[in-house]
Amino acid sequence: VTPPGAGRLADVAGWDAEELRAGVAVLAGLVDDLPSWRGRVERIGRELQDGAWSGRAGRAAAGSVFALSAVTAGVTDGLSDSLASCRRAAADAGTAAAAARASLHAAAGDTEAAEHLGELALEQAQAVREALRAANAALFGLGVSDAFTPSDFGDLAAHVLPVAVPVPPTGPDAVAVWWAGLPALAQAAFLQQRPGRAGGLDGLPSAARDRANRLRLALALRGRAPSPTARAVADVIAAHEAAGRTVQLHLFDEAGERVALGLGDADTADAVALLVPGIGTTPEDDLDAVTADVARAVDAAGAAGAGAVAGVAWLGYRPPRAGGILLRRRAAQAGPVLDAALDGMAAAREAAGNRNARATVLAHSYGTVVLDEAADAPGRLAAEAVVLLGSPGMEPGASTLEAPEVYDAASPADPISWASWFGPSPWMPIYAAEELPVAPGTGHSGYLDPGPTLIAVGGVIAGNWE
Amino acid sequence: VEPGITVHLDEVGGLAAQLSALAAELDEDARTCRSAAGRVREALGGEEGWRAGALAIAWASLAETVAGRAGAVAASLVSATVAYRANEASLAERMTGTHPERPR
Repeated sequence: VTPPGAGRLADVAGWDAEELRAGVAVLAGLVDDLPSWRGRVERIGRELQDGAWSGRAGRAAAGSVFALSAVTAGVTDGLSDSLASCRRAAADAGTAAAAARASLHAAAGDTEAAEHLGELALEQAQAVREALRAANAALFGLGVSDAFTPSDFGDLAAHVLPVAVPVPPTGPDAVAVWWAGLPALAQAAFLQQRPGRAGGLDGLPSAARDRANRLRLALALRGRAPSPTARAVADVIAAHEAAGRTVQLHLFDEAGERVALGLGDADTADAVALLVPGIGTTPEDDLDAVTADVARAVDAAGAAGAGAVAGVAWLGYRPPRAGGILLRRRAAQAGPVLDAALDGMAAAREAAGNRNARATVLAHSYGTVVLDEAADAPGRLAAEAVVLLGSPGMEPGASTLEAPEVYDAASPADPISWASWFGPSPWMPIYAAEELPVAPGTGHSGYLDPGPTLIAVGGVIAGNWE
Repeated sequence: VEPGITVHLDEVGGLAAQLSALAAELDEDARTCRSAAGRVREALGGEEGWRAGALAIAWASLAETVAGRAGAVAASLVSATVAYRANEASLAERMTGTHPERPR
């Protein structure tokens, strides 16, 4: 009969404690070297400061060197604490392995001794596991969790140095200017210590929002039971990154089930398209499909010669559930949010010097009503073109949308496009939108499937559709 | 107005070289730590091996980040001395009137 824990005992008996000790000794070498390394860095800073270079630039140069030294000190402290636990793990591993081997050896003759030794081995093995956990926990203060480490020096420094967390101003334009003027350390401190605020702050560059939202996503996934929203976002990101696309998480509001996921770099793109989906859309059920629509639109724009293209699946509002009574209320709430998101993306591009990018809003179904409400928000809609797809009716007149170009695609086979629930359908001549081609038989969800409408949408995003 | 600006370009260049050497030194330490990851992972195997390996990689990554910054600061110092020298040459040309005429 195989006693309980025999498999575990065999594993522990196979531990090579000498090899582990040798590995830990290598790590200890780094901790031994760092104080003197830091001392030499510090001396360089002092020599810069005390004579080699005076004036503002000289002080800034010396400051950079001193910051490097200060971060090195923080890293050294964290690694020293971690090393103590690593050494404990190595010592306990030796005891555990020896006891496990002795237990297995005694099992044939002295079962009582074998049991006693086995218990000792398993206890020591548990101590090894706890010591390794403690070694990892000692690095939390440096921004390390398991195999995840700070993304760059600014990120590391924000964990180590006492940098005051800056407070953003109000309004996307002011935020964009404020962010561009912040030192890198202050930016990193804001992203790390206020990821919830940063992840939804309109006017921040998309790359910065992505970093903040990925921090929140990582936290959400680390819980025992990650939400369906978090799982869906992680899956869609993984799929598109595996396909070689740049992915930016513009918004991750887990509790509110609101997500905006971008393909391509929206800060530097020549053309940006944002897709607003309609009723019943949730990140859990639909992020995959909506992002696939965006991917096809991005590719179509690229084929139309748009240059670098970015697209965003904007599930930044909670649409009404399918089957319920359709009211404007949700759209009225979502409109100003969409308006601010567009303003924020435009302000971030402007701050980055990307002033000629073209923005297009693709609105589908109830999303066209949200767009309608966004145009009613104060200030002009920050888009050069809008495309209405299968609209259930809108306030009269394309000019009310505030965009220089308004296009509409409506299929006779799409019952929603006949509905006129929220005003005249935009395919009616009185609305004065430019009509896009539609393949015969196109259903309500088929506008961005491969076909003439998708090709036309690509041309609109690129700015050369005629 | 800045009360006084002095810059000893050779000294700054020398300090940049020292910092660059320190960056390379720490980068070598980081590489050694990274090589230890495989050893400790194999030594334990299973979950403990994975944790120990991840830990060694985190150590290496931290050292690489610091080394990378040291290299970047050193490169900035070198760039500053190059810019100073270029500016000095340009000023000298202007003072002696040897710079090319601007097109009218």
